[in-house]
Amino acid sequence: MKIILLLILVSLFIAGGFLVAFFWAVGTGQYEDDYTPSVRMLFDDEVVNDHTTSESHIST
Amino acid sequence: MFVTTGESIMKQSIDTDTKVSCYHCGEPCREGDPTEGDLRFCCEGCRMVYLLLSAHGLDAYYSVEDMVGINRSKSVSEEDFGFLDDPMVLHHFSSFRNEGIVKISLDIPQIHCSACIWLLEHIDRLNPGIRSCRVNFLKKKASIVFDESQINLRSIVELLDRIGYGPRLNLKSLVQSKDASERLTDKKLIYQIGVAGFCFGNIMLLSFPEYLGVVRADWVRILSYINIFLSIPLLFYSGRDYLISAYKSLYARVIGIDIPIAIGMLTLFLRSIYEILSHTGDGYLDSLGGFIFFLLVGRWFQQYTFQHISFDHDYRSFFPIAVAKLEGDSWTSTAVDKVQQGDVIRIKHQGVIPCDGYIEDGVGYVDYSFVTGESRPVTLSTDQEVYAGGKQCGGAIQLRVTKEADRGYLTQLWQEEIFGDPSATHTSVFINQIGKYFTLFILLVSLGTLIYWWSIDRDIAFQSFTAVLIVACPCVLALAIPFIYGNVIRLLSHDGIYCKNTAVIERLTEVDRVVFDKTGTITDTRSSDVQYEGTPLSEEDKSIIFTLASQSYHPLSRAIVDNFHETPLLRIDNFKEEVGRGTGGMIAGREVRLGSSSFILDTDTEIDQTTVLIEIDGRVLGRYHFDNPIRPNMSSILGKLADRNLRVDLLSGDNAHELEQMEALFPSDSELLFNQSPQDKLNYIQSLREQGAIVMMVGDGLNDAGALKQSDVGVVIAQDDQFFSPACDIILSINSFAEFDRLFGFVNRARWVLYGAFAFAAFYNVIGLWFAVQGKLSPIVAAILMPASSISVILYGLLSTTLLYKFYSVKSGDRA
Repeated sequence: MKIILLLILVSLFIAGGFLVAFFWAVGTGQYEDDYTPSVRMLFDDEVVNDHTTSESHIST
Repeated sequence: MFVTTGESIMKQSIDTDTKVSCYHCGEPCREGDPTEGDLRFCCEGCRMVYLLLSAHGLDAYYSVEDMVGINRSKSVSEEDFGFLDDPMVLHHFSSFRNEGIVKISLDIPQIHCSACIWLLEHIDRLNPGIRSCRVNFLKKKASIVFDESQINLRSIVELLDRIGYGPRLNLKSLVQSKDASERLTDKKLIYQIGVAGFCFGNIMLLSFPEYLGVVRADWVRILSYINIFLSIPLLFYSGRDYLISAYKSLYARVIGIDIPIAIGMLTLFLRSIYEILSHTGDGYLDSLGGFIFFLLVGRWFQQYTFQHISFDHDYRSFFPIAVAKLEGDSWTSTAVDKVQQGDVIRIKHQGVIPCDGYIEDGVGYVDYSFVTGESRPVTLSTDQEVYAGGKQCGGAIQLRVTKEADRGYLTQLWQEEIFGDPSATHTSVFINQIGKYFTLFILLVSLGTLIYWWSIDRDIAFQSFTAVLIVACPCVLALAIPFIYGNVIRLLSHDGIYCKNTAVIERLTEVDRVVFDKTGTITDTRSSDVQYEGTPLSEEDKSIIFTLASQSYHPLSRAIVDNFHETPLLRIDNFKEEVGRGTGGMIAGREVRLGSSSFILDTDTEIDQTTVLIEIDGRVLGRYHFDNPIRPNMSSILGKLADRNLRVDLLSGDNAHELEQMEALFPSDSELLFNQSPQDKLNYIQSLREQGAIVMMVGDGLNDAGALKQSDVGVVIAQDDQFFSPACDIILSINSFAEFDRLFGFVNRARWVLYGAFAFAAFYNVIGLWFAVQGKLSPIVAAILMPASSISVILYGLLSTTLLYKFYSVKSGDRA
């Protein structure tokens, strides 16, 4: 039966990990806008003209 | 009697169907409008935006959606953003600043489609100083990261303005910084729900073995210890708001719903710990977990927020953020809160006056409709005083400031006690009253149980005493309002009716009197109805009148100009204007005069200030009448309200010239009051409430803000729900105004749903108490009964309000 206790502790630990992940997700604002990303992912990668460098896309 | 230009409008619209629309904004193009290759544009502004975008490889903007651009001729602000150079301003806007990298968040109300998101998020191509831009579509905000060494705030705002996405900058965005703290409290509730869900789930899982009896007793005990460990954050983090508010209401000697909740929580917790530690039982920690979890979810549901709508705007969101101030002999753009007494400022055409002052130069045609409700502009000349909140409709004027922005007449009104008086904001009275009797009842029953068992068996006495407190816990009572009225709020928002919170719904059910403001509510201030009366005009006459009127800045002249379409401009000689009275000149060899009756007829008596007479070659041809048209189906709205036994009244800041029309519109028992100052309106609402009426005030803006706040339910009609709306309880989209009375029907039926939920609660409590007073409440009964009651009430509330809404909208569809 000792193994059950161990399993319970391990499962609590893992569940705790998910709780921390949830805190992190809320903290970084991932639930603040649930609409815009769904539009954003549908934008095509358009052909970039020569005079605009793709470097300016790379942002911090 | 009517001579309108309807014919020419029709011709024009037929033409545009066969013709092209502007490639940028979709407005119809006319002959001679700018072109670029094969593409047609409606104005030079749209073409410039197109050129700018295409030069930077942003043509794809037009392929995301068709003709989505914002018309440049309409959104041109020509504003001077010089004040944005002030480092303090940047400090207010920036949320993050490190080593030259600055992150700012701007309100951009023009965001309306996916192409807007695309363009704004590619704005870094227009200027390499902008590192990135992220759009939040629902909040209509863009957060921009930029490099201070390459670009500054002013250039960014100017760039956005140039492509038609000028951010909303008003005094409030400068003053306010509470956005961050607001978000923090929202997040706290989410965290609390997360913790409660985690603890509840695990406690439930670990309680299974004891219910099933498959595990040895000493193992069950170890699991119970883990449960105690889990219940500590549950109670003291997730449930702490309830404990604190119960403590506070005890301290203030008010019995509310929070006290039985807190008693229930603490009893559950303490008795469970006692049972587990004394090995006399297994505790009720899973019930505690479910209880707190459902309460928090209910609270979250109640806080349903409308992301782009704010209910607590005040005068600051209406005032401009900056004005042109005279420094030395040049004009500099200055933030309004820096303007001081004695400064000279310039107000442009359509500019809002931010401070009281007197006119130094120019002619003021000031529209005070926001302050007084008076729809007619006031003509003011040099040295006359103007008050903050007015809108200049003519050319630019210069003012010498006599009072700073936060001390002006309008601002003083906003700072009336009522706005700072906490008792004016109503809380859920009903549920607290129920809570009061409920608490007394439960305390009596539990004490009775204690006394009854005390002589028989002290163990059972103690057990059943706590069991009564546990099982009678008003979980259902506390959940009913958040879920039922919360769902009502959500459903109403589909119809363009946005309620501030659930307490508003509660008060709505009791409203017996509806007071309307006239300007902007009964009448539509957006369109000005121009009617001509007199000798029919020839095409030449029209051109002549159009030419003369277009020379004048007077608002009535502008309204005449707007009423003509495609009329050619002629040459004008000897143009004269007498301020506030009329204009005249020689056009096409004919002497034309346009003005008020006293100007044209040389009499002292004014027939009506909203009448303009036309005189050509010494002969009066006719007159123009100006009126804000009454909204269509206004009489049916008022009729429907009367059918619901609601008394309707009218308050107007305007003079009584529309009395007859209003008398025809309103039922005969209505009070129609004219010439009401904002203070009068507030006092009227107050007197109605003192007579015991529950008053709903329907208004549109600042001049009735006091009355809106004073009323039990303040409703604001919003022409456009992204833009300005003052402090109120309900924001009503103009499109749903016609079906406005349905609100009352729906809400009244929702109240019966709520009573149904209370019947449910009573039913569960009777069953629970039956077990509890006999000392037979085992943990397993509690574990089944408590979540079952919560979940069934939640489901019942959500389903029945949704069904009711569907049924109700179908019914109204039949009626309409």
